[in-house]
Amino acid sequence: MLRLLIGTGALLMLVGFGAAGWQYWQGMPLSQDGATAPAEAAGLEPETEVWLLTATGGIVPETDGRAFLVQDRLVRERMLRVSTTAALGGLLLAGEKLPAAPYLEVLADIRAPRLAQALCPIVTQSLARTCMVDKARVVAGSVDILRGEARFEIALAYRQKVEGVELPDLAAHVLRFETIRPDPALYPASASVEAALAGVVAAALAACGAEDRAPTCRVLELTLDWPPGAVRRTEARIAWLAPLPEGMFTAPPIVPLPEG
Amino acid sequence: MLRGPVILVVATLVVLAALAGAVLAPRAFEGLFPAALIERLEGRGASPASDMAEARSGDNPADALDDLAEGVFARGLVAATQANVPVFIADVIASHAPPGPRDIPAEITTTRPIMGCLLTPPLDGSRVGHAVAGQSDLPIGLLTYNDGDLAAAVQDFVAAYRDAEAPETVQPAVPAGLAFQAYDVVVTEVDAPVYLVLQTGAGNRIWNIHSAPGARIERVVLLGGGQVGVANLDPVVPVEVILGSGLDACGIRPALALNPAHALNAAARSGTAEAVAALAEHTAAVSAYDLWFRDIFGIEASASRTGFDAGTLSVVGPVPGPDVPMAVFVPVAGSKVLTTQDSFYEIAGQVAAGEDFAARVKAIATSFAFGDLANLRQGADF
Repeated sequence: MLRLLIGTGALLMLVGFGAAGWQYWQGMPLSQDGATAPAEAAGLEPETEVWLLTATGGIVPETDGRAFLVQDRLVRERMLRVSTTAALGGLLLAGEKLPAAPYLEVLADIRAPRLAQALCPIVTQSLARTCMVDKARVVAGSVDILRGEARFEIALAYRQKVEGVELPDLAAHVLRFETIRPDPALYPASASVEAALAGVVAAALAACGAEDRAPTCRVLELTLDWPPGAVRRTEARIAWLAPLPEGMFTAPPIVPLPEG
Repeated sequence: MLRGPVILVVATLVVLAALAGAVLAPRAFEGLFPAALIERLEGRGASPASDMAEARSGDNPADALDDLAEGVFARGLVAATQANVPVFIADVIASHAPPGPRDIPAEITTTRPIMGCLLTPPLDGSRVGHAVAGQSDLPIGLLTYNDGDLAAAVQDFVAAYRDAEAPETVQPAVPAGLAFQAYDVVVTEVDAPVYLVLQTGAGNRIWNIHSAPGARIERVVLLGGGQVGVANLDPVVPVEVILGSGLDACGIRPALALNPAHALNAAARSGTAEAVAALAEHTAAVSAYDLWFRDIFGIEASASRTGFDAGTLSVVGPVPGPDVPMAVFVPVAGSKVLTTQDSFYEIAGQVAAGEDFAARVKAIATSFAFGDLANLRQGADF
């Protein structure tokens, strides 16, 4: 009888402590790997020691720093955005016909990457080493059945051609920015979106080619809004390293003493 | 000495096992538990029909009405009678049983909406019954849809596929609004022929007609809704249909007087000019609809409406009593149905493989994605 009581008690303790232990283990914070995973999933870079200064002495936002510095791979912060109107017939394969009207928008949405991919060669021709479609969607409600057209929003990620360019000592330079807006009149009314994009890229590179900017100048962002036959808005954001302005010097980072 | 604890342990285990069985597989206790309890255990207790116990918990059917911002909602088995006075369904029809989502008629005949906007008016001496069904939440095994529904579902499927971590597990969803919902109409008027005007809010509706002995139906007019039909109606009774799209084309906007707690009333009480203007616009629409309704049917729509914004049954005629006969419930399952239909029609359990809604959606998406759904995925490698 005594053995039975002891055995039952031990069994109950095992179940009780086991459940408590399980709950404790479940409630423990994530491991080191688990803790960093969301940041990596969000595309954020691990913290780096690189600090870039603006011309006014401020710290360059991390996103701009990443778009400028990280050229060995694609980053979310360096994007080429195109809004364009395109013919739905251009999304079809040979022998295909457009579906019934209710399906035109979803067809355009599914096949929008096809339109976007056609823009990558223009970017890689002069500006980028690699180009990849990040997002291509039809604008909801934009299908014009009579004209057989729709509006599209496209985002292309790219790595700039920076081979052979050695960046100088970042601590001895500031990062300067400029947003250029090429004159829409530069593009003839009959120009295609490809021609308009090539024009914007050329304008951005030309702005970058100025004597005081080359060779560290890089295109961080490029936007083109192209309704048929006319450029509505173009914008390119460029950045380059310039020597520290006179009177400015970099202070060593403030860190706690080893004793705390 | 030993027998006591052993019996205790065994008894506890038996009770726990029985409880687990009742919760996990309530159907095994079908003969033992009431149907409402089994439905609640299965998580299907949300529909008005399954709230019978709740609805019968008080003696006053008005307690089962909720005056909400969206309208008046009837909880459980409460019917609307003349002037929208609530009564318990059990008091107006015998053998009532709500339909199930797999219930299908035995015979389906399709009809078309009328051409134009002119309806046949009621004959002299007949009584007009105006039943209104907002939503009943009683879907049956009939689906109808068109290319627009398919295209919208393809877009939803594409969006879900693009966002999913495991896209291969994503399946197209069938929108709830595609299934016909059943709504019961009990006709207890026996002193004169009844001209039925059955007005549907949004969605597809099958009006299940239950006539008391001696009731005569002169004509049925189905107004509004996506697609609509009638079940258990004598085939000799003429049916005229103007769908929601048809009313729109005719310039007729069905508008009924609002309940006190309705969002528009509440907003107008706040006094903002916008809300007051919106209420005034609705009031004007109610007047215009009343005028059109009276011109055709001889009564005003708001005053004659029988039916809540959410409910399952309307009574046309007096509440049954010693001198008023009671109708017997006839289910939609196995009935004869006359209905309009959209481009595609599905009967539960009778759809060929690959031709149901979900399969069509997937096939369209695959075809648009050049034969491989993987092409739907987007995003650069960062």
